[in-house]
Amino acid sequence: MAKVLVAVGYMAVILIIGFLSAKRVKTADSFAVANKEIPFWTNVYSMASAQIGAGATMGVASMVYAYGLSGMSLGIGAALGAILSGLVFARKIREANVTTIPELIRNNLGSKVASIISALTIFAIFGVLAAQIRSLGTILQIFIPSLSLPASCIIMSTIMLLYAVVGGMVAATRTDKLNITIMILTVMVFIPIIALSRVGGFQGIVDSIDPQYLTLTNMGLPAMISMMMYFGLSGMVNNENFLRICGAKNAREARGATLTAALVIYLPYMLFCGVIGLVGVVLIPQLGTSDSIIPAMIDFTTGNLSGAFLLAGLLAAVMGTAASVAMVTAVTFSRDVVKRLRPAMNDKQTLLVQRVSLIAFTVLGIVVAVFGGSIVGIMEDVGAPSGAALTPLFCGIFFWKKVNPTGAVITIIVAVISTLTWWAFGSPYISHFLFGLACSTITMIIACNATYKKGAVVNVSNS
Amino acid sequence: MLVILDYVVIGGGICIAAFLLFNMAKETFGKKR
Repeated sequence: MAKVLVAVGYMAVILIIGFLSAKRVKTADSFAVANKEIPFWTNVYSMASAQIGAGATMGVASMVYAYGLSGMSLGIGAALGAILSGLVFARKIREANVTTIPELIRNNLGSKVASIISALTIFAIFGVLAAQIRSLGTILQIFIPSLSLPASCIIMSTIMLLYAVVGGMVAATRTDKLNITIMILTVMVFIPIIALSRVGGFQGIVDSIDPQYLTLTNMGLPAMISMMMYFGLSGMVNNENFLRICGAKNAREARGATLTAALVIYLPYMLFCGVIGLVGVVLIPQLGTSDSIIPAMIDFTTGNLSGAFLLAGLLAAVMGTAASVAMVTAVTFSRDVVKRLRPAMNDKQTLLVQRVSLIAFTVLGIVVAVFGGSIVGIMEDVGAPSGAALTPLFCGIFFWKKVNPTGAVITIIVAVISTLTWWAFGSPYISHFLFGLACSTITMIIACNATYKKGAVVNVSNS
Repeated sequence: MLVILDYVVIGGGICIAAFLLFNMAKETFGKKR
């Protein structure tokens, strides 16, 4: 009962913040990127909160729980991707002054390429949204074990929708502060202290754990490389981060905030999740699914009331990611699909389309979440074709002048076909993402060299 | 040797959390420019 009360109390706080923030939202632009004046640390928190969704919190701990130290490759890959995103891209993205990846593509490669990329990214972000809804439902089930998965998914999505629709990005960045504060305290302070003292410190882990968990290649090198590349690259070319980079005051702050979020929050956070997973191997050896090791550890190491509070923190972190992913899906759809079909739409109509599509995508997300295989499975399978197509093109736009519309279209087609084909064959040897990425990168180099016309005006936005 | 790692992990966590929370609190509740 105490757990449920804490959960309800937490949800109420989230909703109130959303409603209070709603007064500030007046135009479609402020709904999307919070008026492009998000203060530095607020943006740092917001970026870290977007990165620390179900993927980092539950994924890294789950991998370490299942494979030992080698499972950290997921966390290290994701953190490296986030750091590279700050070092290489943040400044350029903010200087380009656009809100979504398709918008950037349109300015550089024209509307045709942008439309194809839009359709692709919407599918990818939608996959993430469905995975987040599934995570939200799974966590709520720990609060109320008698609840079915569909019911808990619907309850959590409704709450997420309410504050995202009413408050938009302003509400998301405000609740991010609360979410990330609870998560940092839980994962970096409370759980490590309690768990390490229960297990007898690292000496206690070494003494009682199976030695293979302490080797660095227990998972197998191909699987480790695949995972590092997948999470690294999808962390680098990432719509959620894109929206937040565009919300920064200027290019310098965008770069600084991205790097700070990656180095000071994301990387240490991943390491702490790994420690929790490793202690979990010793403390809770018989866990049904490795995915639930973080909530299980919270439940195991804390009392009823404090445990409920910390579980609310976990719920909060996933909620933050889910809300911003839902926001990005809606913004991308309204700007890059609907506005292209109906260019005469005014500001008020755009805002309405954004809100309606937000609800529609969330409802679809619930369906996929309930019927999909697993949290990570939903994300990877849906995201791979988009990632394989986007990564080389994204690098090309900023660093290679020969990238042109015709070459880009060929690259996208090859990326999608090769990824799906490899997936259909059961992804032998390497993951379908890596296979698609290799094919699309080679294709981009050959196709863009072949179709490049010297003197043709392509880069209109960078002039 | 491993005892040092215990202290690094616990101390590091507390320091990072304190640093982040301090900066956030300063920006949220501090004087507006």
